Amino acid sequence: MRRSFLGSLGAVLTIAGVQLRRVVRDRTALVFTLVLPLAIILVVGSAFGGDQAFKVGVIDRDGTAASRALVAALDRNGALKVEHYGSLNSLRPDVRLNSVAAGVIIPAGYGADLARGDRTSVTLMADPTSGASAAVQAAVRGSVSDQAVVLAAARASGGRDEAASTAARLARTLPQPGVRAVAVNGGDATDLGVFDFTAPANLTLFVFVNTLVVGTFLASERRQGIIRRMLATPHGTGTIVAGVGLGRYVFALAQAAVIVVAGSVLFGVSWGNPLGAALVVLLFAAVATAVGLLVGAMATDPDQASTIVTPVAIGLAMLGGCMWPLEVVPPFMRAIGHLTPHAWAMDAWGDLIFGGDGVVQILPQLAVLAGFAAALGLLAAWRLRKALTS
Amino acid sequence: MRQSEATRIIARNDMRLKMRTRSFYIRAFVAPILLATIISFAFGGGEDFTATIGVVDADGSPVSAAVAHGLARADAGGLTFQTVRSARTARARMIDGNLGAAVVVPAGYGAALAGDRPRDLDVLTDDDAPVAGEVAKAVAREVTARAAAGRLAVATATATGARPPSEAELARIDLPITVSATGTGGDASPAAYFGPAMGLLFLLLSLGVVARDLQAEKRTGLLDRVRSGPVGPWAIIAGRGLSTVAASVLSLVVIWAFTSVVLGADWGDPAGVVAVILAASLAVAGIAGFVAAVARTEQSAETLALVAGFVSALLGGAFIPLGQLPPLLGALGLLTPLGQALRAFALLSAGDATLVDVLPWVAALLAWAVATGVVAARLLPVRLGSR
Repeated sequence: MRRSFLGSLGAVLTIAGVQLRRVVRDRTALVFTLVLPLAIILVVGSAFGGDQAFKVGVIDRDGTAASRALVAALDRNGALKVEHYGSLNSLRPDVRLNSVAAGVIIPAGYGADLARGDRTSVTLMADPTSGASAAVQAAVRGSVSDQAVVLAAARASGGRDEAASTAARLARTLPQPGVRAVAVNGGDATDLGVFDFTAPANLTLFVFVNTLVVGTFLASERRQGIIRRMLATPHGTGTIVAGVGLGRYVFALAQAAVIVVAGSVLFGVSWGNPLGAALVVLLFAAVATAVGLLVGAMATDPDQASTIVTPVAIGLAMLGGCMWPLEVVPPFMRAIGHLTPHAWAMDAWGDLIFGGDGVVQILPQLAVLAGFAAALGLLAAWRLRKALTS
Repeated sequence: MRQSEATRIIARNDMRLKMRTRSFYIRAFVAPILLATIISFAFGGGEDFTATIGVVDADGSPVSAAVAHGLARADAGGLTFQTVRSARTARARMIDGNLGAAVVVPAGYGAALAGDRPRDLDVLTDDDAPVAGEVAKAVAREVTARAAAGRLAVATATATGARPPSEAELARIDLPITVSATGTGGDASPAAYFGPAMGLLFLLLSLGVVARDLQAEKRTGLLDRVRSGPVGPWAIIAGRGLSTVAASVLSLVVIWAFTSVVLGADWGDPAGVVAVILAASLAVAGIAGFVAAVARTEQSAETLALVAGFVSALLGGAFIPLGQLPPLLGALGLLTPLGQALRAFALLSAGDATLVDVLPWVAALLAWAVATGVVAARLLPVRLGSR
């Protein structure tokens, strides 16, 4: 009994090794394992890694000293970099394409309203689908508010030119009350950074996409009869299924490792508690492997498999909050999102990275991911066994 | 048989074959429409972000009462404010998920506001609800700003020798500039941007299909059989190119129709949209021909197509918005056909551009079509002829 168990284990490892070797020798697969994850982390990392200021497109329709003072205040804000625009028609597409993180429109009559002692309003245009939206809006509101404080103080203290200039001068040194963020579930309350969201989102998205694409190679292996030849060996179907699955799983982990390591080493991404991060990666890679095997087992030909995986992978990533935080979508979309493993992985990353949580706090998410992995893994094993023996 | 007729027959036949495969329908229509619909449901419902924010007055002074009152009437759409007895209760209710965030006016806030060392407002945030936390911080900052204006007014009056504002005047202080937030497209659905983005993404990801089909036909001898008739390699290449253009146009037009009619998206000036769709489809056909011409095997065609598709998608703005890339990569992104087409579509849908405004992008896409088409036209006859 012991010998046959060891024999099966040896066979599983051998098959997994063969699978891995095939993947490594396959140029397409190699591109998906190494080149693409690296390219992604390089592009994403260089896009968000540095502490760059958000570009803000400003349309100044007023052109008075007051409006120019507001633009100057925006420009002085270290988090913002002002770019000037002439019209909404040029600003709107740039906000939509995120060429600028937000737009600020100062209306005509802004200066006159303020000089009369009236209230006025500036328009802040932001793209709700952008991950930078919340942070840039906070920065713009902060600058506008600083400007408003000085004007309000000048009005309340006499409203003359002297009051305005004195208020502006005193505003730079007077200690003022602020806002202190306190996280209720441990860790440091940090401002919502762009990269903090993007790094785990891309890890989740691309580990899933790539593992699925490699999973579809199973369809061509089946067509080429490689798996059938394995069945001709004295090993049972279960051993072969386990070997094939293990090979893909190691491959998925390798990809995740490439992204995690390159992210930390090249761009200083912090993935939170190491054990927690490792568990999320291990479980999510298992889910991705199971789905990849399932598609590979169910598709009748390689073309069908590769046709299905891209929309499935991108659709699940959208629903599960890898393209934008789920918090910004309506409650029913959030609920639908939590039918995907992605949402649970993203929740776990949120707790690890933003909340500074450890393994204990993310146990519920880990349990759900484990459930997904077990259920989908069994389903994939059953389908694969059926595909092999039928 | 004239070569032009042969071209037409090959194109028609190729199109008919495409229409018989389920994969074509998934790639060309189902997948992009499904993804555009998800985005539309996520963002196009016209619903604002909603959250309940707790307000705790732990100070109990007139000043803190005014601050708590100010919070409750803060002008922030979609937010509901609820008075909570203590910070402890607020924490518990946040952990239960009943509150998204809470603003606490700490004990001693009112007294400290009149002194040299004013205290901060505390905003309790939950990492499960980071956006609610950000919004609560923004509202708290606005209320704090009114308190700051009061302090500054007193300091300014003292410095200039004017009469310091009375308590009543301080309580009435209002910020003269407000910020009103809007989206990018007015009433337009985000599907107007994501519809074409997803359509183009799938066209690029299926670039390898043309190359793979040609290689497979060569391997199975089908091409030789076609060429044994009075059909030159040119007719085969042109026929294939024509059917690829037709399939791409069909895909984008159906997505345009669906997102417009069902999701209420406005893609902008129809003449401009048609021009960009045609130019992008020609570029896709050119690149598909290029991949088929340089790939030696079906496998290498697939790899090349996937790399071209993914790199283009990555740099062109399908996954990461172009503007968030560093300047060099952003500029490279605008050199990719996806980046160019998306820029043109965004100008049309969000910028009220017309056909004339997008002509430079149409020209850029046509340049891709010509450059790749020329290489394909030179190499493909050799590739198809060689055994």
